[in-house]
Amino acid sequence: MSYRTASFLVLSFLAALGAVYIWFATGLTDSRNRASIGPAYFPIGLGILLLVLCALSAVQTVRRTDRPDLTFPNAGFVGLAIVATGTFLVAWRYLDSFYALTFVFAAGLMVAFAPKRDPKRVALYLGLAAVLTAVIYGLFGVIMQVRF
Amino acid sequence: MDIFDFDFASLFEVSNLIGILLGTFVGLLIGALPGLGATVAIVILLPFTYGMEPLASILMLVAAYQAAEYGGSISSIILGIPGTPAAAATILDGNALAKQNSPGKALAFSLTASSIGGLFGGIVLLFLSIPLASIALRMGDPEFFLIGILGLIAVAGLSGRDITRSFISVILGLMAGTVGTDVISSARRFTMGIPELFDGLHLVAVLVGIFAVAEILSMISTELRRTYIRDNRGLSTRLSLSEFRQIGRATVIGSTVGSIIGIMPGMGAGASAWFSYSLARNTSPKPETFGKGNPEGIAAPEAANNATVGGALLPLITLGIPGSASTAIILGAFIIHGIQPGPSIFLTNTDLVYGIFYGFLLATIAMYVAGKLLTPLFARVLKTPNYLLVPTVLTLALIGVYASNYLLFDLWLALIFGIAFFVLNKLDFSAPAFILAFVLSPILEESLRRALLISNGSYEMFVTRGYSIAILLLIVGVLALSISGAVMRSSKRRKVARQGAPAGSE
Repeated sequence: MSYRTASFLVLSFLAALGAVYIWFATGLTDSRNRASIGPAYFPIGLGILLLVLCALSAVQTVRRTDRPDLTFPNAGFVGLAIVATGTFLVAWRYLDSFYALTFVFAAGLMVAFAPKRDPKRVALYLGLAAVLTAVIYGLFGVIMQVRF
Repeated sequence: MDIFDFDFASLFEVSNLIGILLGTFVGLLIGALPGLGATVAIVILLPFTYGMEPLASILMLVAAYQAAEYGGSISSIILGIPGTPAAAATILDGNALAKQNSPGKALAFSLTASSIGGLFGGIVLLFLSIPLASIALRMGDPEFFLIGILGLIAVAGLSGRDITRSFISVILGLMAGTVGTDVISSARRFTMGIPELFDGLHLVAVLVGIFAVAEILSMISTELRRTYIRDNRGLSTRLSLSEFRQIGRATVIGSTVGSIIGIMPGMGAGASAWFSYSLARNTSPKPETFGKGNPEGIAAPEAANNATVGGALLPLITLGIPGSASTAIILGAFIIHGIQPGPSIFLTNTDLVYGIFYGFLLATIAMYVAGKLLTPLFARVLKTPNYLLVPTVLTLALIGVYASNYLLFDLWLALIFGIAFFVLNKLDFSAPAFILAFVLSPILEESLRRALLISNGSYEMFVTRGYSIAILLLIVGVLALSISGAVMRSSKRRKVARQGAPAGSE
């Protein structure tokens, strides 16, 4: 995707966000009704500024003479990290085994990201993930008394 | 209370010492790793501050900030890759000297200059804070609103690559700061009925998302399989007296420039390091030796980036206005403990303030000692491959978010902000501008609304009071500088595009 196209997409999204933000802000009222400086005053100003700046940035993007490309190297790995994190959070919510999940999450990412996956190295990655889980248990579970 | 009336024994309480040591260790470690800077070090430590005493927690973050600035030079010198953006200038002479079989000497010059710069910045902080706070006490809501605006304009205008998108980032940060219960009217704003949002977007979740998760996704994208090769030999950081004398002039230049630039919002350690390097080179009797391993080329930027830390804390503590992302996070730690920095903090939390000032000097000494003892160890850490580092940092960052507020909702928030800023960073939006605006949003809004309520909605008081006019003039000056810089960059880009275009295409 080109930098230009991505810019227009993001700026359109932000402008829509600004419009929705203003719409929500107009519904805000101060129960004590003190003059016009209520809870909507600041947000409406921000929403309008966002729309103006998005329009300005879009014009500047049109006027740009260079045409850089927007690249996402290793997009598969980035996607994997995001999906794995999301899955980890869902599993954390529904399964009652936080430390086991943490071990699986860390070990899974280490193995997936590693350039070589022979049995010896995989054992090393599993060992490292176990050490990390133990550190988390010691630091958060024992010292900080965090209940997961 | 006089600055020397402080109970120094309280500084040496176990909790404070642990905070300083932990902050120094994590700062050195994270700073040394290429790609992860002082901001990430502070963000990772922030969740731990919940369970700590206010002084110990602030000292931990300040120590991490200080140590990460030196830590950044380790990879600059040994690998030729800046550990932090502020250590980029150190590469020129640091890596050149390291390649001449003297990596230990290069690191020793860096450590010594960093420590002196840090101490200088700390002394500036100690002696300038009271005069500045006295001036700040005469200011009211209109001035605090305008100072906040000045900080945001400076950060967006001077530090971003695309000025309009940096300002969009500022607006987005301010908008994010309005989510939650309005403190003046108690109205619930933009919460969509979600109870987890009633107290606003959780600071730690947003910070970890923007600075840790986005950074990790960026590392996965561009540097996952990168391995660093380095030599373990010659890492002793010993310096003789004559070698120390060699860097005296450059260290003084770096310390002075760093402290001054640190006070200015938006400039940061990177700008101070490059400016000091240029000044040291241009005033040197042998400027041709710079870039070839001249110790002065290491000392000037390293003294500067550490002196910047003390300077940057000055407006944060005396005015309550942070000038950078790192100081915005430290402001977050104050807020977590229910303390609002600003001129009145000298009356309400005197012991805490002086504890921070003297603790800062102690943290600098701790950095020097830890640097002497542990630099060879941190140099070895550089060999850790990114494919192991990434899962480790990601796991710790996520669990840190949970530990700070016990809400899984915050983890989703961190993930969403991380993904958003992974994309937005590529499109030249500014994460530091967003975070500074997010932290300042409640302060700015309250100052603005209180000022307008007092003046019955009239903006006159923003342009009729002496201090307001002075700050407005500063704002105009910074805006003019930002716009002229943007115009120059744009014309340079057009020129490059024209030169790259085929003949006759215009």
